[in-house]
Amino acid sequence: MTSCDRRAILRGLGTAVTLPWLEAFRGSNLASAASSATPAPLRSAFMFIPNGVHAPDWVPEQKVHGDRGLTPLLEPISGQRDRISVLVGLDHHNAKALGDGPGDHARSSACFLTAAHPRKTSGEDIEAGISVDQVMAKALQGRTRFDSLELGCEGSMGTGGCDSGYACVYSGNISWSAPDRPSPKESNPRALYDRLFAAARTAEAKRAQAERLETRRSVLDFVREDARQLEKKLGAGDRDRLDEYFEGLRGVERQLEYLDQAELTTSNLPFDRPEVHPENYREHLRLMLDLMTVAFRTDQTRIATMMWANEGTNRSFPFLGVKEGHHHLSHHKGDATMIQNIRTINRFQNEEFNRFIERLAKIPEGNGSLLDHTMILFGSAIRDGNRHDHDNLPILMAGGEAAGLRHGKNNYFQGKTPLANLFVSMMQTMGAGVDAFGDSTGTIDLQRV
Amino acid sequence: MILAWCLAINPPLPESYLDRYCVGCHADEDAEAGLDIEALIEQSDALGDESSWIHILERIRRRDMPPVDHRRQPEESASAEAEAAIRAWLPAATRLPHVPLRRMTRDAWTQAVDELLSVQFPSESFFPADDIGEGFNRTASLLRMSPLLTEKYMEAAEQVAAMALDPNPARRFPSKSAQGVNLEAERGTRRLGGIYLSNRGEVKTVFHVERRGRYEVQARVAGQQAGPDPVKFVVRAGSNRSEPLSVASPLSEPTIIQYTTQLNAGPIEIGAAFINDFFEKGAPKPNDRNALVLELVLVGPLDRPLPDHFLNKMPTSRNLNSLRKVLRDLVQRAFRGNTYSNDVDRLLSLSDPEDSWNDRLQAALVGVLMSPRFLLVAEGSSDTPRQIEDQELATKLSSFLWNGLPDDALLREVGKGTLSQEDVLQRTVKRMLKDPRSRSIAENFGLQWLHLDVLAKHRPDPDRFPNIDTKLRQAMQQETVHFLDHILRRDLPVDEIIRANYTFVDSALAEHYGFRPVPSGKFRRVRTPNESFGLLRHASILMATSNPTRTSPVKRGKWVLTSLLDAPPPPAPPGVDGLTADGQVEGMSLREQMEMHRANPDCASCHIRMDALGFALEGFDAVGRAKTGTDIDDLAELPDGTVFRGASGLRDVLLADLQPFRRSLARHLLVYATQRGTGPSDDALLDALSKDPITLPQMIEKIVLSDAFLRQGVDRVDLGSKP
Repeated sequence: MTSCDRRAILRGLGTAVTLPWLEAFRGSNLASAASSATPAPLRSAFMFIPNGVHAPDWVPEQKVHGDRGLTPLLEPISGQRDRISVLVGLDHHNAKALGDGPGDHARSSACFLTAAHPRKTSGEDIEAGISVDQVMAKALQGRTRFDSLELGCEGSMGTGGCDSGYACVYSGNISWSAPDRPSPKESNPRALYDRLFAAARTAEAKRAQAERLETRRSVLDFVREDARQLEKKLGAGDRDRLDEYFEGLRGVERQLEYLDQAELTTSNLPFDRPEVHPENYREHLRLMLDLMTVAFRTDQTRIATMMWANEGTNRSFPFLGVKEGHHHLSHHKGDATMIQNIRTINRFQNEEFNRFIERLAKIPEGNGSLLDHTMILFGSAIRDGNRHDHDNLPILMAGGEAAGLRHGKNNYFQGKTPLANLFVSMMQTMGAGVDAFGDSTGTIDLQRV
Repeated sequence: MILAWCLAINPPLPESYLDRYCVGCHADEDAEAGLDIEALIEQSDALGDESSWIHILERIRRRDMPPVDHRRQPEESASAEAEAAIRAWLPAATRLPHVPLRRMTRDAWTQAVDELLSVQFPSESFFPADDIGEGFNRTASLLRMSPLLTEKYMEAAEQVAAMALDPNPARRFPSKSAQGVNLEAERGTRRLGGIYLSNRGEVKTVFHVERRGRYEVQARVAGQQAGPDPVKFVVRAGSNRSEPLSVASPLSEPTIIQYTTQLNAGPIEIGAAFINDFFEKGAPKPNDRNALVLELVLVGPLDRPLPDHFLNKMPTSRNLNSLRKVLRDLVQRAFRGNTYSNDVDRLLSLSDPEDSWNDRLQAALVGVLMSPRFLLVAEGSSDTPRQIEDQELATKLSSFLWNGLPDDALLREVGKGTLSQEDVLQRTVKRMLKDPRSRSIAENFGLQWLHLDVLAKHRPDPDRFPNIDTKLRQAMQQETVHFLDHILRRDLPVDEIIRANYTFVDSALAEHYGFRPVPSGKFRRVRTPNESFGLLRHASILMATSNPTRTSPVKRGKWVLTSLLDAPPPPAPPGVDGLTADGQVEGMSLREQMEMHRANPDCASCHIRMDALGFALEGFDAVGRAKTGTDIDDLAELPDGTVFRGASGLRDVLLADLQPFRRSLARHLLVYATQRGTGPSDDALLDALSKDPITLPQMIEKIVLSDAFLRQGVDRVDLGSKP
């Protein structure tokens, strides 16, 4: 079979991006809803990888790698070296046991964006902290169709505790809208596509939609009235929970406004509706990242989180020749074959991150690129999967040069510098008036990173 | 300090108890398990850390602290006295928990929509899965709303309303589709987004058919054309086969072939077989005919709607009064009896009187499905614990026993105000358990209690266990469901669960086990003459607690401790890892490796018990078949010196003291019923449920009649979180 046939089949399946990606953006009318009159908005994206990394070959050392040198596992980002910073020496103190015993995986994901020490429980009284993306989302509330998007490549986790007495919600979420309330993530690319582009219809469908919106508006009034009746019998605690329902209704209302104005049509989308839930992890990951990119580009949201996989994941990577589970391999205890497999996984992650950055950089926006208007943090809250440590974490940053960020170097932070300091600075840059967060002790000069 | 505190509480805690048996290890900064009892007492008037006291009480109640190897062992009476003293003093020991406002689970929503409108909505691919807390996906405190969910409920409500009103019945039963990993084949390679067959062979999958009826099987296929004929397929559903179907399209243009047939409810295997392979060596190309299967789809049922279907109740003439009646009935069920007199008017005001009948109903249905009275459940809150209202009770009962909505009979009792009367309640529980919907106890409760939800994702190594396909995996799960449902429906003692001398198999499972063949189709009850140990020999459990390549005595032991004895082992210390995947260190048996592992004292205290319980099941392989041969290593020794062998030995150990098993089942049921974790205030109920032989329906009835089920506690948030 020729490669042309193959592409045709893929198009039929919709498993892959069918239109050339860039052409869809370049010169097309897939413009940001903020249009050309207003300056391009600033966005933030947070990317989480599970199970730590093989730190000896990942995290640079000042004496060895200096200002720009890359470790073997970071070599894949060399193509985008000027666009990416390696942050060395940032810690997540609150991911440590602090008397709570085992459970570093659950603590890693729960702490990653909250900088909070999660409560050890397998049950009802879960508590971590509000996460940095959600603080930003609240500060920007109402400006875009979605205040934030929470994405992942794996769904919720199974029965029972997922890690040493910690509830599964800790391992399956990084985004928390309140200390006791994780924001559920979307891992199905088709569902995400529909969420983003349900508005993209033909003119005829739009007329039908107008009627539907009318009904939606009256339904919202109806159910609000209903909820007020219900509220009467509730105590303060339950009323707070009912508020979450009201909050959701406000979100639906905002959708209506967006749908009224949306200029999206099916003809200018950069790819077709994914018909298949990709079996191949790389395809799945790329699809999710592409959808995130389009959501930014069309200004449907300015804040996104992405769990490349759930913390502690034991997925294998058959397409890389890695047949054993990721978590299992991360506890290699020095076994050379296992280390080699972990290196393969880490290298793959960095290749995909590099690809993502490269694609953002090629999408023009304002006087620069979409990348220039997007701050991106990538990393894990476990340093080395074999050791479960939480200091000197593997962290990369890219983008946001329009907001003054500068990249291309290894930045070494001396002493104990909380990762939360970086969050404070990012939040301030996004316009959230925050002075402290989690265990932060100050800020980090983003011009430097 | 300790002494003063011990005397200050009433009744006093025997002064020497904590001193003698606890603080030796649990004190100071390096206290075991991070529990510093002295520090706890210093701050105990504020009860800042009530959960630690709950934990202490639980360990004393179980009598597993001080540990058996501690040099001083308390007399039973001393422990009893200490337990009573702490229980009397600890507010949580008598405080009824508050169950907060929650949304329906994804499963319950799906079921409710089906009950109301006969629509089967594909929720699993539409909504995120519910989070698990306290071992179940229905824990109230985790069932919260979020912007994502509200948006999805809105979208789903519109789709459901449109499906419900669609005159084409097939639209109400969205087609089921299998692609990618959900397709299976004995031969063939995964390529081009499907399975590529270079030889004759079949690509298949299994769907669950909810209702008997006429279905259309579709296969999305393509062919590499060669030779005189086009590629030919036979499409199959169970044992019904289509005529050979020709597919002339090339690989680049997949096409859909169809076959319509009658199916019964239950799992059904669907397949598309490539039947005319062709290859002519040396002939001019194309000389190789091959086939590609991309997707299998089941559409239906295509029959007319069932008599009780929503559409069949619709008025035929445009008569507003009959429309109002349809809506009134619907609202009554959807809102679980919590209706207002103006509900129908308000729902009709969502549309214009000039609108079509269909549009008016569509708007009203969306209103119903988005209402908090449908989506949310709350017992409310007051300053003192209170009996829940009858309407709330009906909701709670149908959620517990059916995982669905209250039916008309329940709502009638609510209307009469009699539901909470003890005799009515007893009658009601009996009636509800007889109803087919109570199968959800086995299906929903049972599979979560036994941690069998992992089965769907478990993939035994295909090289070692080539016969394990989706159909067999589902059959294993169904065996356990049939078994538990049988115990429930026949009003059998819960002890039967671990000592029954029968099980339920279909033909595939009988073959897997090596039992005498049974006719294909339905599940049948079969005796297991030499194996009267109930669940312990279910392949579902034995496989779910194995690794892909080998058995795992540790996982099996952990499962016995967690599900059957409710004494989950504490997590392994940091940095400890399991054995390698295939369990082979050169020249060492599995047992030798594990013994080496246990030589580490940190590991030994838990693994001695865990491994022993697991080794007893070594007579069964990683997919639940009885091993043959003589080198079966299923000898087990417990820390107290008890030696036993095999599953029967394990069963005898469990039967020797049935109280922990019964209590485990009762506690898991109570969590499921009340949608909250249990605490010391539930101990008396759980003790009462577990001390004597009891049938499963009796256990359920007693839970329903308990304060834990019938009363709502005070929300501590409302009291400013002061106890």
